[in-house]
Amino acid sequence: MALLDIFNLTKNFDGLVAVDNVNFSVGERTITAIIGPNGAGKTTVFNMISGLGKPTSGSIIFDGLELTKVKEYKLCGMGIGRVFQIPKIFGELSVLENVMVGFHAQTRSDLVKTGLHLPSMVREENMIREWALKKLEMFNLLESEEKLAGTLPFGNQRLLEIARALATEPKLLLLDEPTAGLTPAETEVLKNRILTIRDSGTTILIVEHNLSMVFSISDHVIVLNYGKKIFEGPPTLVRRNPEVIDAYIGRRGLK
Amino acid sequence: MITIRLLLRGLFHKRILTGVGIGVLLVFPFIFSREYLINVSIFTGIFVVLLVGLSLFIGHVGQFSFAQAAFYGMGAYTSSLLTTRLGVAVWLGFLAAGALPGLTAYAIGSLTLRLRGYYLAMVTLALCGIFHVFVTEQYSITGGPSGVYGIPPLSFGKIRVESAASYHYVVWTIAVLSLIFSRNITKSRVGRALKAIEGSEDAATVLGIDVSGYKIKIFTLTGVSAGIAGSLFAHYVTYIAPGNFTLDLSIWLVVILAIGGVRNISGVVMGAGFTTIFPFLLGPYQKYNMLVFGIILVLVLMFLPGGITGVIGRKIEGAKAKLLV
Ligand SMILES: Nc1ncnc2c1ncn2[C@@H]1O[C@H](COP(=O)(O)OP(=O)(O)OP(=O)(O)O)[C@@H](O)[C@H]1O
Ligand SMILES: [Mg+2]
Repeated sequence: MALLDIFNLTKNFDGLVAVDNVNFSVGERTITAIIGPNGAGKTTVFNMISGLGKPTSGSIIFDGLELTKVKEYKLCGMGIGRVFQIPKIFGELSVLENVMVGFHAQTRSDLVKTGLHLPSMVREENMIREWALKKLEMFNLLESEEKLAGTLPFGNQRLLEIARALATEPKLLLLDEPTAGLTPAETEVLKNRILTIRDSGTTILIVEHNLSMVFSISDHVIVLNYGKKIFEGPPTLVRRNPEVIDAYIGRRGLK
Repeated sequence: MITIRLLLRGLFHKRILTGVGIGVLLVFPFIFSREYLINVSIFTGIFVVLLVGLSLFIGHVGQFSFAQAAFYGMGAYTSSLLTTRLGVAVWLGFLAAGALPGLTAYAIGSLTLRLRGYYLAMVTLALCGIFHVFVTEQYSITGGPSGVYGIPPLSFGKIRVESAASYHYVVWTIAVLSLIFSRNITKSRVGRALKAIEGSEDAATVLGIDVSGYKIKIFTLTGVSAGIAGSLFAHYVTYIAPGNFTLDLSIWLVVILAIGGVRNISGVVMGAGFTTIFPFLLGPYQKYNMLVFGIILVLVLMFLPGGITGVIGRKIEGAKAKLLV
């Protein structure tokens, strides 16, 4: 059964049709990739799934629920995690605090509880500090725990953002070009992490220009061009499809 | 040499500074028994309460609000009118004084803070104008330009707070508690959420943070704290008039925070102290106060971004680093 079903999804930016009547499904516990040239509408699709900008029309069904009617900040609690194309870590917070923010939707201390420093709030605070430390340990970021996140090298900012997104315990994780700007070695590490995340039960939807990685890890590939879906299928079929080669692969060549 | 170093390091320590501050507040009425000095301390305390919510809002939401004088006035008028006209118990009037501006702030925030852009600044400028017209012209309710007289002193049950010294303790208890409250907020889940929003509203949203909800909550807090300050003011001076709550004050408060530094408790306390003594400092040159103030503001914005406390904070960090070597 599919975890995510997208029907006739369309997004207009005054005149420009960035996403044009797109349909696809993402099966539970799979890795599904969206590929396509620059400006094809990949990030715009991610934005609509994660609540940053309502679709012009169409519907997004996640876990049996229509998302387009849900308040944007509630999507996280429903199980949608998102990592941005350009890392959006919180530079003024420490590395540990960044991950602690990831537990926001699972905790409750509000203005009054935190202002009064109530015991329940202190307990919650200690609990998520523990959880966040575990996440940092998983990503080998423990020694940078106290540093301001803005001072981390680029590759580690990427990892931190993924660790933070995993803290929300997503059922579906959206990764937007996670290997952009990484060295080949870092890319290899990240690839294995993505597989581990999938094995632990999280469904992954990934936008990626590194095609050899896409074809080696994905179960299913969707190809967008000028906002339209031009093809979808397993990697073996996608890499041989003439239209896809013409629109995208041909121009880039397969690394 | 070593002892001097230790002493310096001690002085730089926040806890020790706080301890010294609280010690001074405790003995203040005994050492400075002159009425006008106690008044300086009381008004400083009231201004701390007035500024504390605003500093959270400017420092952590990053927008300007010019509603502070109106909320302050609303609090002052609410508890004055309830206690003088309707004979409501003072402590109830005091609570209502926090609630009414709080609700007003919530309503204004809900309408403006969901939009992108700086609508709130404009709407709050207008609110000050509307409030002033209302209290000046609705003679039958507010007493019009001549204001409200004979406001009873604060009392909680049988305990009446009449002497200046006892008022000093009440005001500063509330002021210190509100500073602690705001500090606790910034050091917790809510504070992290606010910093996250500041870093990236999109990233905050996908992590489950209700961005406009938090902005509205913090703005509501500016209303509640200003209202409480207004009530403390009214029950101390026992006479209020529209002239106490004009737009000048709102602008002054925003600017004084920019000068003092919005992110620090010491910025709030310095701002409150400066608000109290500025009129005295200028003495006969009071009519130039806005000019002098304007010049100070420009200089600070040009040379001390982050405010005075921001700069002192960095200097102290630097000195500490050297001393620790
Ligand atoms: N907020 C916006 N306002 C107007 N146009 C936009 C907006 N966001 C995206 N677009 C346009 O929509 C189209 C699709 O953009 P999108 O960012 O989704 O592409 P993409 O497939 O992610 O490209 P890339 O591989 O470069 O990241 C582009 O033409 C872009 O200029
Ligand atoms: Mg993109």
